[in-house]
Amino acid sequence: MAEPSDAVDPVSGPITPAANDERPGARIGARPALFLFWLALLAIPLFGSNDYVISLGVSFLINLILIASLNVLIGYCGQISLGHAGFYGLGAYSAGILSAKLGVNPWAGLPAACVVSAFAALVIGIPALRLKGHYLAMATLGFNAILSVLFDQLVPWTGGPNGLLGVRPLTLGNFALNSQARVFPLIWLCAGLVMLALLNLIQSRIGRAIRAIATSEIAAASLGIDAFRYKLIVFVLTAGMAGLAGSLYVESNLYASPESFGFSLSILLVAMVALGGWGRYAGAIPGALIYTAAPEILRTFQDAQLLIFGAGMIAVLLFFPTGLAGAADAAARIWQRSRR
Amino acid sequence: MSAGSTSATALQLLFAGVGNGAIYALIALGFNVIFKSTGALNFAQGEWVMLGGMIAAAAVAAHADVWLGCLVAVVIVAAVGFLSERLIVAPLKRPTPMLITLLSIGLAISTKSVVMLALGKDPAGYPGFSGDAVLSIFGARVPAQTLWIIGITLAFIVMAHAFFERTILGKSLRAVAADREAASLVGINVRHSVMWSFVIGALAGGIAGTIITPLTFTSYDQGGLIGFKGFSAAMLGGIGNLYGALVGGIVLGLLETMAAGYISSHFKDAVAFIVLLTILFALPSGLLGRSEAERV
Amino acid sequence: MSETAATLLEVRGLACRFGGLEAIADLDFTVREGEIKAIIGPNGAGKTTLFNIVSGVISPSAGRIVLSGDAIDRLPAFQRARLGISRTFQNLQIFKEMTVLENVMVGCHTRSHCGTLQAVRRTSRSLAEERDIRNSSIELLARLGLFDRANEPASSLSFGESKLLEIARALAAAPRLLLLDEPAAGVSHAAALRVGDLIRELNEDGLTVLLVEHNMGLVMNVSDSIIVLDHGRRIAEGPPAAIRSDPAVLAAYLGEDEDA
Repeated sequence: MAEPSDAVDPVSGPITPAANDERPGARIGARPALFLFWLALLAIPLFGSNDYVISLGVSFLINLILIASLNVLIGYCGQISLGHAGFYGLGAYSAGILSAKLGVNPWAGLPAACVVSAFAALVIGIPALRLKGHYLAMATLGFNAILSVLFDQLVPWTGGPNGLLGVRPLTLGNFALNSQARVFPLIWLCAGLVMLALLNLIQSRIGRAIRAIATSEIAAASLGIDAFRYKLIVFVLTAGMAGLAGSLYVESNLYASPESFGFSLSILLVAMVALGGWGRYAGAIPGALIYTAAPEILRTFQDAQLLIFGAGMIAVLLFFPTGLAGAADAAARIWQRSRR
Repeated sequence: MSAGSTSATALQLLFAGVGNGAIYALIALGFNVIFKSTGALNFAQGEWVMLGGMIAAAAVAAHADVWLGCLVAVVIVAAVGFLSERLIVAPLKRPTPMLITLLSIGLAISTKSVVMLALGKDPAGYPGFSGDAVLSIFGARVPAQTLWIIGITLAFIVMAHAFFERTILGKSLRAVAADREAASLVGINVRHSVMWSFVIGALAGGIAGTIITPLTFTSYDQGGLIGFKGFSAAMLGGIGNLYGALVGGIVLGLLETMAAGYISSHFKDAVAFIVLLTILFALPSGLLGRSEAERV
Repeated sequence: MSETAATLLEVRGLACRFGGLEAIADLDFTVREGEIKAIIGPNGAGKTTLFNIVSGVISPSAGRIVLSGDAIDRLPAFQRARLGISRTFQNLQIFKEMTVLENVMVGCHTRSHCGTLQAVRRTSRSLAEERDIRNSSIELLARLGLFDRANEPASSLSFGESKLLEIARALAAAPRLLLLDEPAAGVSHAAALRVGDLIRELNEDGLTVLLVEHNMGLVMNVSDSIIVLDHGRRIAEGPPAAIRSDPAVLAAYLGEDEDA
């Protein structure tokens, strides 16, 4: 008896796969592709000509953590969060304050940032996720805005509008990770772990449950799935990841200021998720690439950047719901079909 | 401090609070109308407010009289609302609330950036309808514009009430808001209703923008904050409830002004956020609502 | 199924009001373990509302629901599912963006126990559970005749196939009581016959079935007992032969035609 082909691939995401979804035999699985891509990223510090290029690489990896985690929340769980930058900032300031103000070993900042952001998400999420409808969007927006006010006003702790100074770099013995090239491997490792964790999550039965909830909560409940619990788990988990990104940010820049973590960033992150392809695992990569590279490429047209993001987001949502990642996928399929 | 001046201060704050509250009520009304017809949260609402003020300022700078400038601005913003719906909602095969909410975010970003590119980053303003006149009412200093704001808002609310209660279009909008399927079964064109709700929402936003700008000035990046406050007002009154918009707006305006006056102006903006979070967690249906925001 | 079989589901004094409309009024009935019970009645009689109340989608205004002696009317829908109630939906709630196989695998969700942290770490135990889920789901698909469509998006299924998919998914949760909401509505005569055979097969394996259905041929063929609802009240109950000739039932159906 013939077996169905071994290609049940939730990584392609829940949004409208093509009607006759061909699974070409030569298609690379998600796991090896991720592994190869991650290895390739090491080229940045090895061949990067100067610190500036490497710092772009660091930014890309940190943005990837933010966008990939938000992508899972929006695309797989169907919940819009406009507070992701807030959790990012919470993580950055937690790690920064521990290092700069409390003299704690900077390494403790990384897990501390995750815990603080995750806990904040728990506090906000429990009431907000109980509500039907998209109130999480506004609740998180409000939460982000309150955090911005706090980052700005709690001057003795955060340094206020002038920013947090005096963050000490991470050290391995006597070796201080105080340059972009030196801190790159750590960030590369952390981002890789986050991407792997997210991949594992989506491909597991939990990932299926989450996608079921996003499509039809009623049907999911009729199968024994506790929708509220899973929404909360994903919300807390992704907030923790944003917190981790924040701690990595503060340790690579040795500085943090409130304007980096406002709700306009939260809104932009949502735009990046949509552009890359919400609900497609690989969508976070073009999303993060665009977000990191755009300011550089558009240097002379800085002002147009926002318009390109906004219009691009609308165009993608209307015409390419699978985003850039989906368009790349479709292009690859067309290419393979033409080769036969 | 004499008893006369504390009550004068209080009266002053009262007028300011009601004035701001009226603006929030208009914005909340815009939110509610679109929410009722699509189930989505319209993130472009605040940008429409900003747009109203910016266009009016540009018109006045081009030597138009203030009334004309405001009228032109309101018409243009309503047209923008119409175009927005045609562009982002009408083409959708499955207009789910989530998709429309996301699209409105894209719309908000685009609108903000177009204004920035076309009209620049500098704050803009113009004189009020009575110039910069300030009245003295029982010792309280009240800008004439504040009275205009309250008057115009009341007039708009009355007209909106008449529209929804008396006109066929208004009643069909209410029918769609109550039950889409039933409405389409009796022959109401649901898609058209959505279009009209966008026009009304933009109209409310545009009017709000044109009448507040003389007092606060405006710039390309002011849309997000004021839109958010309007949403808080809508939630406070009960999302989807048109009279809730009025109540929520006034209450929020008063709370904000009292907090700024009696506690600290630093945290003025935070009031709206705190109100929103409190309402979401303690009383999601708002002051007048009937559990629109149900607990699961 | 013997006359002395235990009671699986009991509904007592159930009532449900929507605004001014009384959808269900003072309804009592029981479903015995191992039986196939059908609920019939003219349109608007409250049948799907009843399903929604029993499965936990909506709350009744009054009444008790008891499953194997435990009151479940305070429990949320997902907990009732875990206690053994599965259902299909009249208006189809399949997960369109997943493949056919994944739809059924979601049904197996409560059968495994690895949590999020184990999923994220991809422990060998979570992988083993995943294999089990996959194999069980493939078997179910084969049983329902959907094996060939396993890797296709669920949105590509025909209406009749989608109904079968919902049944497969509901079965994946290994229920004690299966609520079928109009399983034969809108499908061909041949497909309706197959549905009837399927119900009998499942029942022979020990599954208790409660079904809402308009297709009288199917109902009469398959049911052990039938309840007739009209305007939210029970107007008759009994074996098919008795219901077929019950004057109150005929009046309810014919009466509706006369008014139309």
